[in-house]
Amino acid sequence: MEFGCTRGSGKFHNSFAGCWSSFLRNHKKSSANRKGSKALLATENPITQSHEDQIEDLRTDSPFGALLDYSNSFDLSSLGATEKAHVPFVVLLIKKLEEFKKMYNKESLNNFNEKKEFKQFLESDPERLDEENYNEMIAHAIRFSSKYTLPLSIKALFGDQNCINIVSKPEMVPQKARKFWILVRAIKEFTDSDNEGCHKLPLNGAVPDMKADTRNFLQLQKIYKDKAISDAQLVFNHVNHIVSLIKSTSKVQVPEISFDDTMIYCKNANLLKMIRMPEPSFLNTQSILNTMPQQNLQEMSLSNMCMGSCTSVQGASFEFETFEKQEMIFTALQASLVFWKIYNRYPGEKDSNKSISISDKNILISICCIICLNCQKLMSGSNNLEAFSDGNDIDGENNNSVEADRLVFINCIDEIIRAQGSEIHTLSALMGGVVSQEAVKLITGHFVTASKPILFDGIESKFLQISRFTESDSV
Amino acid sequence: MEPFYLSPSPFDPEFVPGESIADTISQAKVLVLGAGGLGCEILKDLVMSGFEDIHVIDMDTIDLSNLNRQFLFREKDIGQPKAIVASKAINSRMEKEVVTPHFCKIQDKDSEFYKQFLIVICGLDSIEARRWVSTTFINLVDDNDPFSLIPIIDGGTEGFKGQSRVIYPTISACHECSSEMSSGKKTYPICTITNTPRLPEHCIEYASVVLWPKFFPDKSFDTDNMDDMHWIESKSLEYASKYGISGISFSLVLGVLKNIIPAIASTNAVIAASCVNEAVKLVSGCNPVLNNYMLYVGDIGLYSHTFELENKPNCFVCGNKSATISVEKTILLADLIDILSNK
Repeated sequence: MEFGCTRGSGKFHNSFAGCWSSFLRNHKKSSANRKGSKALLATENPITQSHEDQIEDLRTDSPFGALLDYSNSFDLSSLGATEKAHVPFVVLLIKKLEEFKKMYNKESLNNFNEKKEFKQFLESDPERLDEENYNEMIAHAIRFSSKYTLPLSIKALFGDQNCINIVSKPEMVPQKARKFWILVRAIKEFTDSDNEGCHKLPLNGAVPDMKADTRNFLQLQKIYKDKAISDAQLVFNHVNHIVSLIKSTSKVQVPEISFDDTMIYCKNANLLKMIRMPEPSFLNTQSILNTMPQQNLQEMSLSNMCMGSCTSVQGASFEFETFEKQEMIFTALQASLVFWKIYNRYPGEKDSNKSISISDKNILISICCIICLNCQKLMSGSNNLEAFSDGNDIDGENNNSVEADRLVFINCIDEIIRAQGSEIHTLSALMGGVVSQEAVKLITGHFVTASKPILFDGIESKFLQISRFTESDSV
Repeated sequence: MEPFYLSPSPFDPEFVPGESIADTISQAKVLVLGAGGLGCEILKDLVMSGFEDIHVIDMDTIDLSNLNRQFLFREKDIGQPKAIVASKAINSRMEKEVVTPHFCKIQDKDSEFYKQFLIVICGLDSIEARRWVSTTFINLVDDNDPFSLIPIIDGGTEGFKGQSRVIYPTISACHECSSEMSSGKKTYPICTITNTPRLPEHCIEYASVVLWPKFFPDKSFDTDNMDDMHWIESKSLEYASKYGISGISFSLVLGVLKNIIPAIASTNAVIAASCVNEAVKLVSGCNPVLNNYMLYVGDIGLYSHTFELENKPNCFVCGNKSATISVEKTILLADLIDILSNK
C-alpha cells in the first residue's frame, strides 16, 4: 500500500477532491524511486499467463500429421446416422474445408467473403445431417476456416531488440527479463523453422468441448495434447541451445528454465506480452523544483502568466498526447506536490499566519502551466478566468471546445484547492486495493498488469488511463 | 472530509456547504447487508468515513476459510455469527457503539425494520439475495412519503473483477431490469453426462444429478457438508476413470456444484471503498453520485466501464407498464393463465 502513495516527500496525499485520487504507477518502480536508485527493476513486466480467453487454435485450415491421419480415418459414407452424429465437428470441418478448397482450387480462404461462401456450402450440403455436431461445424465455419496467421503482438515480440540481443548481447537485456526473452527467442526459432513450427506458434493443446462420443473426444483431445507436448519439446531444445550459447559467449547470469516453464510459455504463446511502463523524470518533484523559477513564483499571477511570461520559463516540462480530464487532474495533482515543496502546505490549506489565500489558485495554475505544455497551450489565450469567452472568434466551434476544456481544468483545480490536501478514507482504501491487486499480478506472474498510469476519478467513479507523453528538458 | 462539507462543489452547484453536514453523516442510519468479504470492508470504510449509526445483517457463521480476507475475524471466532463478531470488532475500537448486529436472514426482517434506514449498502453473495433486496425496497416506496425511497448501493466481486451500482428503487434500473446481464449456472444435457461424458465437469454432474438421488432418494446434498462433497468427488472419480477422463479434483467439485468463484481480498477492498465513497457523496451531497453502474476490471489490465443502466419499462418488479387483455366474462382461470403466460 505504501507504494502507491508514498514517495518523494514521504507523504503523498493520494486522495484529493471529493473523491479522486492520484495516479498509480507501477509499484515496483515507485519503490525504486523511493530509494532513489535507478534500478532496472520492472521497467519491463513480462506477461506469460494472462488468463485471457484463449483464441482457440485447432489448425483445421492446415491439419498437422496426426490430426490429418485421424480425420482421414473416418469414412463418413460408411457410417450409420447415429455414428455420424458422434463424429467431432473438427473432423467434419477438416474434411469439408479440404473438399471446398479443392473444388475452387484454393490454397486457403483469405477473406470474409470466401469464408461466407464456405459456410453457405456447408449449409446447402445434401449430406448434412440435422445433428448437433453438424450444427457446431456450421456455427464454427467462419472462425475455423481462416488461414493461420501469427498475431501482431507476437510478431512485435519477435522483432523486439531484446529478442535479438538475448543471444548476441545478453548483457543488454535486463536480468529479470532474460527468462522471458530466452523463451520468446526459442519460440521464434521454433516458429521460423520450416520443419518444426512451419511459421505457426507451438500448439496450446486446448480443445473446446464439442458434441462427440467419449472415445472420439478423448482421442481428439490426446492428438492435440501430444502435438502440444512435442512442440514444447522442440522449443525446449532451442531453449537449451540458447542458454548454452549465452553461457559460452558471455558471463551474464542465465536463469534456470525447466521443461515445465517452457510448457507454460508454449500454452500461452498466443498471449505473451511485454508491458513497459514509462519512467518519466517529471514524476520527481524535486527535479521539477530544481528547475523552477522560485524567486518570483509567488508574484506570478495568472494574468502575467497568461501574458506569456510562463512560456519563457525554463525547466522540465511534459506534453501529453491527449489532454483530457485525467491528464488535467494528473497535472494538477503533480503541481500540488510542487506547491507543497515550496510552501510546506497544500493548495487551499490554511497558512499558519494567514488565512486561505485566493492566490493559491493562480499559483497552482501557474505551476501546471510550467510543468505541462498542454496546460500552457490551453490557458495561453485567456486573460482572466472570468472572461475567457469572447464568442466573436472566427473559429467559433473550436473556441467553444477550448472554453469547455478550460472550464473542466479550472473545476479540477478548484476541487483540489477545496480538498486542502486532505486524504479521504474511501479513496485511500480503494487505491490500496488497486495497488495490492497489481502487486498480486506482478508477483504471481498471472493476469495482466496495467500498462499505463491509472487515475481514479471518484466523482464520476471512473478509472482513467493517462495518455502517453513526451518530456522536454530545456535548460 | 471536513473541507468538502464546508466548501462548494465545482461539480455540483446545488450542494449547500455547512457545518451540519458532518452531523448528517454521523447520524445517518445505514444498513449493511452481509458481513463477509465485502461486508467487513464496508463496515470499516463506513466507520472511518464518520458514520456512527450502522446496522448489519448476516445469517452466516465464521469459517476458517474466511479469515484470509474477512479481517474483522480471528481464529478464535470460528463458528460465531459474522454480524455479531464484526460489530464487536469495530465497536471495541470506538468510544461508543456504532454498529448494531442482526444475526438472521435478510428475509426475517419486516418492512417496518427496513423503513427506518436512510440508505442500504449490499455486500451480498448471490443474485437471489440481490433480487430479494431490490424487490423489497421497491415495495417500500410510497409516493406520498419521500423518505420511503431508500437508495441501494450494491457491490459485488468475482475474482479480479467487481461492480458497484446505485439503485433508486422505482426510479433507476433495479436488479430485475438488468438480470439479463448475469449468467446463470452452467448446465449440461442429461444425455451427455450419462452417455457421452467428455469433461471432468460432466462426471461431477453425473455423480450429483444422477447418482446422488439413486443412493439418497430422501435428501438432497448440502454443498456446505464436506461429507456430501467428498462422496460426490469419489463417485465422479469412479465414473471418470471408467471413461478415461482426467482432471477431477475436490476444488473442481466445489467449483461446479457451488459455483465458487475465488474471492480476492484486494478486489473486495476496491469495491467496498467504491460503495462507501458513493454512500458518503449520497448522504452528504458534497459531490455527484455514480450514475449508476461501474464495472471494475482488474484481471486483464486495469480499467472500468461506468455507465447508466436503464430501467426496463416492462420490468415486472419496478416497471409500471400495463397491457389490456379482453376476455369473455365466463373465461376459466386456467385459460386466463394460459393467455397471460403466452403474452
